[in-house]
Amino acid sequence: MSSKSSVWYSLLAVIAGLLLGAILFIPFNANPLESYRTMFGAAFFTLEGLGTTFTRATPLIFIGLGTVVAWKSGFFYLGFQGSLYIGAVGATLVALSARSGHLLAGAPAVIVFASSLFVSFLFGGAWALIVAGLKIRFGGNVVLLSLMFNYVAIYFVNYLVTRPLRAVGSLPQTERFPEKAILPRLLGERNDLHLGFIVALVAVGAVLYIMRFTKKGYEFVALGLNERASIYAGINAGRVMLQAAFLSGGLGALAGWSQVLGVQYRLLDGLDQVTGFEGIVTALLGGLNALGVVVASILYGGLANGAQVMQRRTDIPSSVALMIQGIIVLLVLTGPQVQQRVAAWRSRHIARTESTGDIGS
Amino acid sequence: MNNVLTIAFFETWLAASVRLAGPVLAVSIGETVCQRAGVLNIGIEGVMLGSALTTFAVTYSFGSPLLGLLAGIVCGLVLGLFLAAMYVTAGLNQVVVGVVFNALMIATASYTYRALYGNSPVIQSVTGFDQIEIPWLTNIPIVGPALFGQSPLLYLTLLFVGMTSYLLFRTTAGLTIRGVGEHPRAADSAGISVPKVRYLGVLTSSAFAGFGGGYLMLTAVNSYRDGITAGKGFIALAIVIFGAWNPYRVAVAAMIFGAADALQLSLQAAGVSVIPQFLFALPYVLTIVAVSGVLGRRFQPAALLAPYSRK
Amino acid sequence: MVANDGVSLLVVPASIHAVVGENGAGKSTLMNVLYGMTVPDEGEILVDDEPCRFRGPQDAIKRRIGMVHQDFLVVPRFTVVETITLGLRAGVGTRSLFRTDFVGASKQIRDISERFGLEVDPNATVSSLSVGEQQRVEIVKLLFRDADVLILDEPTGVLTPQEAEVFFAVLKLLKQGGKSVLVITHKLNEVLDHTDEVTVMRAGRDVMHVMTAETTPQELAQAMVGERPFVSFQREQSATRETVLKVCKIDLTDERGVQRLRSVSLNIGAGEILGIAGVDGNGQSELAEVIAGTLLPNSGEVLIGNHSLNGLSVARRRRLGMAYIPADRRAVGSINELSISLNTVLGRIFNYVGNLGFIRRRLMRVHSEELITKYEIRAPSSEFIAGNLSGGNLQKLILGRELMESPLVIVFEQPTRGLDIRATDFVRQTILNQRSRGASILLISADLDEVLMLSDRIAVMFDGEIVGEMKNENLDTRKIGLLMAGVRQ
Repeated sequence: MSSKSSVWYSLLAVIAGLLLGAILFIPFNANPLESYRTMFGAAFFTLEGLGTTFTRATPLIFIGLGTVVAWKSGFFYLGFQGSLYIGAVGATLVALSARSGHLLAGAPAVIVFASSLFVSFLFGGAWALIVAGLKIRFGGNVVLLSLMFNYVAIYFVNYLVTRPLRAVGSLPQTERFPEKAILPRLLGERNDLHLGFIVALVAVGAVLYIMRFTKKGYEFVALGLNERASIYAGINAGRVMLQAAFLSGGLGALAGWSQVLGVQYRLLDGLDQVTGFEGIVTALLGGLNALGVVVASILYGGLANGAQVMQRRTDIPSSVALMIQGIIVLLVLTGPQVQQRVAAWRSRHIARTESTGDIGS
Repeated sequence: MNNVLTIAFFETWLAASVRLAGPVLAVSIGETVCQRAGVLNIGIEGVMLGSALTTFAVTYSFGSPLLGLLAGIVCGLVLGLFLAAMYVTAGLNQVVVGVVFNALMIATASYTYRALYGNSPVIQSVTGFDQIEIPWLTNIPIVGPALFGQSPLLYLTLLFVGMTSYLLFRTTAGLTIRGVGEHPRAADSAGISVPKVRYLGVLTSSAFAGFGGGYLMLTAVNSYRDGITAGKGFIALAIVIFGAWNPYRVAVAAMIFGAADALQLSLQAAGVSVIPQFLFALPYVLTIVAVSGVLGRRFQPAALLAPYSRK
Repeated sequence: MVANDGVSLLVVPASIHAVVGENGAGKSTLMNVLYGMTVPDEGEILVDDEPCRFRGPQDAIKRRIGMVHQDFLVVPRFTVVETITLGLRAGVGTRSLFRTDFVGASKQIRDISERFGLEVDPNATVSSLSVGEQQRVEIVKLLFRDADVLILDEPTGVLTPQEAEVFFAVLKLLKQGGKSVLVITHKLNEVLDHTDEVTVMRAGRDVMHVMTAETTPQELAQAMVGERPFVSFQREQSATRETVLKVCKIDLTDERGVQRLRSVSLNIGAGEILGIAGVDGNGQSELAEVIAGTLLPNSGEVLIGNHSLNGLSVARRRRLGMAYIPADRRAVGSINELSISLNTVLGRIFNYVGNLGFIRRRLMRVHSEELITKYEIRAPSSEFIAGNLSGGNLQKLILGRELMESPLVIVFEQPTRGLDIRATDFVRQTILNQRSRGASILLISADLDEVLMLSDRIAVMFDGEIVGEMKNENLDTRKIGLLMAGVRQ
């Protein structure tokens, strides 16, 4: 399917999804138009709402980017939930070490910031490397392995917040992080938007650059498209896959980084709200490329945010957001199939008309 | 420590293990058949969730847990039809479809519950199946309550374990299923319709996921809330792998996972503080070892995850 | 292209009938029709004087015609009895929908085994069997379904000499049992020793049919190869050359344990074309891959100049001046989904990397446009998707890319397969131009004409070995045909 028609198709899918979504409002005696207006209004047309939308989108962008890098390279990683948790751990360790009396107590905020980024990324990258290594060395199944590792990560965090890193008190969480570890708010205290969003945008630029303009990006894409041809051309399949795994795991980890340092300010049992699978679905909606991920993440972030606001004001559950997104993605996925059927129908139709016009040839 | 090494502790722990293992085992059985046919149905998590809700709704409305359970199975079949169409007819990537489907189901279930029952904080509760208590046998020390004091659904599930094993290894149908999962081309050339068998595989796993969802609903909790399945569908996947795609071993694997699950409860009840997370993570770590290929890929159906087309 | 042109074949009971021919002679197509995989455009199949229409292999087996392919269709994890009974419905032994009567089936298998000398243990796991034993399982599978006509495709290709002996004993017993066996082969020795009749196919026609006892290897080889006018492109004689590519005693066994290359050695000098003649599947593609670096040999060495390639990655070998044009241009030689421009750099992206790992896209585009012009590739722009190029244009793209840096050693594998006349001429002229430039060229082609046309020297491969090497002057093509068919002088 050509890329131009696929963009059109995605647009069509979004519209169709929103239309179908309108049906969802009916059981709640709500006017679909009004409801959408509330949703989109709250999500995109107030400064506060926009801030929350972008904040909600931030971890999705990171995970979406990770998905793009991994899946385009043929590395079917589903472990972003785990990367997120592990990245959160990394950020937490750095943040906690910025408390007085600890390693980074005297360091300026910039250093803390940079270290948290670095450590988080490293943790997530290493985490994904384990899965990649098992695949390359032993032929393990990436899908199943990454799913299993998600649970290990969840329990690991659970362990940390109930034992070594636990704050005084009975709640499974760490202490609140010191101020200098926390990501500053960009639009004032009342607005959720924090620095993590900017970092996410920078990451988008970086991934875009890598995938389109560097030799490594070329190797990722080539490997994902045709492993055999790539090997024959001299690309070291194993090494390239490890690199893709490290990069994607690191990106996924930053989702956790942004959540704990930008939203929660502590490590909790069960990181709020975000799941790795939402991020993957967002990446699919964005057509598995960096720019699409941003658009899809903001769209979904807005939907989710708006739906939450709407739930507070009306009875409509916030889950409509994910439902709409799910429907859109399914439509997008079945796109090529539909196109094929239409093309086949067309060619048969044309053949028929041609043959009836041609007598005695 | 004194509380732990008592017979009472083991009794309750074992009983709880078996009890908790039941629903997940049911799901695993169906998925075993499906994977033996070469299809990895990740969507069982979503199916389980949807069926749990369906069972709840029907039981609540009609007051009959049996009807509710049947409704759950029907829900599983319907969803299974959709999934099968995606996997087999449309030939879409099984993993991608599964992931999207699960996400969609989480949202749909949450939405449907609110649509039916509103946002009220009061948790509606529902009568489930009573546990069976075989009078004499439950008095056997240690294993008594575990083996003989369980819900009838558990015994049904164990029956299914046996039936599935028989199906897979002692019937022609089972041979056909396994052939499709091991070498679809050979099966095709032997006259077997690979798509048809795969459809049946997906429908089986979804039907059992429906049964498992209803089972979970009616025994463990008796009331519905968001995320009631809490990843049990994925755990079922792990159990299938850990059980090397063999129904009896799958049952054992389910017990191990159930034991880990129950251990936490039992230890808490006994007032012991042990690091439970290591125990919880252990079954997953073991599964990782099983799936990493370190032990060789001896048991995995050879054509698992590979879409088949006659080229 | 006509694959089978008016081919007629008569198969009688209790006979072993060989069908021989080179690649592209039409043997496979004919067999596909016979066992139901392909529907013929014209003509009919008569079984016991009744016309039949086969819509699939199931129909053929109902009429008792079955085929054993080169890649077996047995299920490794199953036992013998399971893989044989897979797919069978009622009517065999005492079967119901549910229980499989393995006991009855095993007994039947044992009976068949005894009758035809096909020793198989019904309860053995298929993966534990040797290749020869697995082949026997395949044959039993057909006999289990009461096949009267068994088609065997290159059956001895995967067997050791000992296993081959057992195999021929089985053939005899099959014949005694009244079965008809159709053997597709290119090994004339085997034909002469073990068959009753031979049909020779060439260029889609059946050119000869004779009783084995009444013919000679020479006659058969001549029929296979035909009269070949000695055509060759203009070539200047090259002076004595230093050896550039040296292949020393390469041994290779594949994952099934079958030996694919046996102590293969050859030398190619600068400005020289060594053509490998031989029927597809005798080790040629393995040889190419060993040189390219995508297959590791069990022993032996490949050298370019003085550099040993042992242990060197594909990328390193390319940097040392190796180029490889693979047989499968769509699945291996290019990446369909990428543009011409991106395919141009496949394998040599390191030349386009600027500072900061930046790909110099403009340079890429310039080069790919030059390539399009120089090689007369029909495409609107360098952004055109490679998968949409015609075969000829795609091949030109691959050639242009591989030859861009004037490599020292070039391996061409089936370079003109599937190309039209114009593209074919272009490719052949390109090969000669490279020769003039001084490259050492290994030309692997199943098209004997092509090999004769272009090569300075010719080596014939059979069964993984180089069975003959000669200068390409005043050649007796029948001799080559004999060597290709495994007849030693």
